Amino acid sequence: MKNISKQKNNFLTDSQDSRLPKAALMLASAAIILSAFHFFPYENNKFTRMANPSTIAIIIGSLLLLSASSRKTYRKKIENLLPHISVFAYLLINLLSSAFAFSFTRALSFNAKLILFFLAAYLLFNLAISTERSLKFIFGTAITAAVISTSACLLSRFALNIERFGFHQSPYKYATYTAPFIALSSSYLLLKTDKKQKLLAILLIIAAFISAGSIGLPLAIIAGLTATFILTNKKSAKKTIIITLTIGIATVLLFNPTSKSSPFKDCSLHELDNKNLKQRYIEWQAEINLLQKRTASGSAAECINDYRSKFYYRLPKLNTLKTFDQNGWLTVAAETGILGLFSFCWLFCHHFKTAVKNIKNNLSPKTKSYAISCLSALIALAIANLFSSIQFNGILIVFVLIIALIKSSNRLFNEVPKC
Amino acid sequence: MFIKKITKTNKFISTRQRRAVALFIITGLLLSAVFSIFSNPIPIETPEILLLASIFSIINFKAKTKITTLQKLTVLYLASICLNQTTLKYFSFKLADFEITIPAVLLTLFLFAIAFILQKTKHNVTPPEPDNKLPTCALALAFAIIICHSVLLYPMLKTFYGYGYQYSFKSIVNILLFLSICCFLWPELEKTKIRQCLSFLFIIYFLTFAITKRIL
Repeated sequence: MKNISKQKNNFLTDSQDSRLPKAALMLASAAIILSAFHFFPYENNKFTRMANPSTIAIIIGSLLLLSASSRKTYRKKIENLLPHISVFAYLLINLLSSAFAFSFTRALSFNAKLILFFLAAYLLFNLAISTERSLKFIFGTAITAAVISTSACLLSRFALNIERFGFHQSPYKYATYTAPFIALSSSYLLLKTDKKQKLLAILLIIAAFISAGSIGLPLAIIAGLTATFILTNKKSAKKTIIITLTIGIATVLLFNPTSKSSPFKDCSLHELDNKNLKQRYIEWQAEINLLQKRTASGSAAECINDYRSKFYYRLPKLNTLKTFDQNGWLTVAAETGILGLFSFCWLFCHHFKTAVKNIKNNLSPKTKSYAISCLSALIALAIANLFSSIQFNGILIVFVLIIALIKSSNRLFNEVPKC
Repeated sequence: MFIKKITKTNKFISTRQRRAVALFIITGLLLSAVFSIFSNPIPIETPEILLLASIFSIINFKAKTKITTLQKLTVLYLASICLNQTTLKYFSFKLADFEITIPAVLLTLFLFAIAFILQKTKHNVTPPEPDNKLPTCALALAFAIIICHSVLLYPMLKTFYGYGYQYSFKSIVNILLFLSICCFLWPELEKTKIRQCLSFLFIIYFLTFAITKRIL
């Protein structure tokens, strides 16, 4: 019995220092890959939507971190890996905004999700990326997740003829999940010298364009790859980006107009009756209108639906808005008020600055490729957030992974900038 | 001897100015708190959360950096909530034949602006540390996001309906107002005494809300 307890304690002893990052790497990669399956096959169950395999992996990771932090040596290491103050600021404003929530439990569960991902998942990813090798491994898992997601979507849309997007039901959620991953992995692979890796990047981009069901996906990929195009010095990569994007845009025009959900149809300004403006834009205006009265308070975290319809004023309520068609930026402003949007922008600005600093300081092309692809993914994420929120269940992991990648590559190759 | 005299005078001016700055800020918030307690157009469903937040911001922690920033942000948020309650309240008075209406929040903003100017002209001002600086890039981005969306929506709404876009202007003005409050109040919240004083004010303010909500 004594031996068993000794063995259990051995897991976190100082001599076996590498075990914790290894376990974190295992759990982090499992969480990333499992996130590609979304809530499959139990997506209509409320409980499994919250406790999906990817989130469970993060919960296990957070328990591991908690047990490790009981030891002084690990506590200091974990403290050093804590996120930037802007992340805490955003969490704090979200928590305070719950005071205005009609449904307090909804606001509380949203806050619990934010804390789990922005603290536990962030720490897990940062702990996992302890060496350049592990950073490369995490990039590999992100590529795997992108491949699973896009290939499943192609299969369901074009081989099985089902009006769904692989493991995602909504084209908006699919776009917000896939776009940053595609930008991250394709930029990373395109900056490599290996031809096979370049071919994989080209295939991934074209597959994403073909499978897109909303305008957000192609726009986010174009924005992300444009950043790579500007930042890289490699002429071959620049050429490949131009050619691939041209092919991608052509495929959007060729493949999609026949299907129900296509980027082509999604970018139209009017409804099917040709008389009304698309409900999405009326919704955007309603969220801006809400800010006139509730500038500081907002509607409370995750409670936009309780108030939004009151702020349409004379504008028509057509009830044609598709689920998850939401502007993430305006939603943050409408839910948490102007200070919530400010802290969210602070979070974005700080990581953007860190990513830019990573590129400037990295002289070796190998490490520069990590930095460029991270910035490319962050830009793709910002654009994707215009057409669906990056804080939805199952999507938030992508956002947290990208900011963790930026921060950990900064820790591995540079020093932290102050914003 | 001469140098000593000068520093003494500077210290004297600095203390007086510091007190004046604090007085303007506290008066501004006190006024808006009094206005809002009677009007309360935005119902606070769980005022206990804000009460706990004001208790959190009154504590003087030993560890400075991160917690102090969070305390500053908490006070800023609570002040914004207090001011938000007065944004729909107006003062109107007659001047000759004209009836002039002024939003109540402008009065508070005016007091904050005076405090900010006084603080800027103060002697012996030490520049804030980079960690304590207000991230202006984030403020600018937040404002730009709303402006860009409004500009984008304006032609769409005008073409389809001919109305609906005019509310954007009011929202932008309000946002600008709150962002300027952030700029005015942030450097002052660095001082522990002002922060604690404001937190104490908020404790009474939100305690009143909690009592009226739960008991009355």
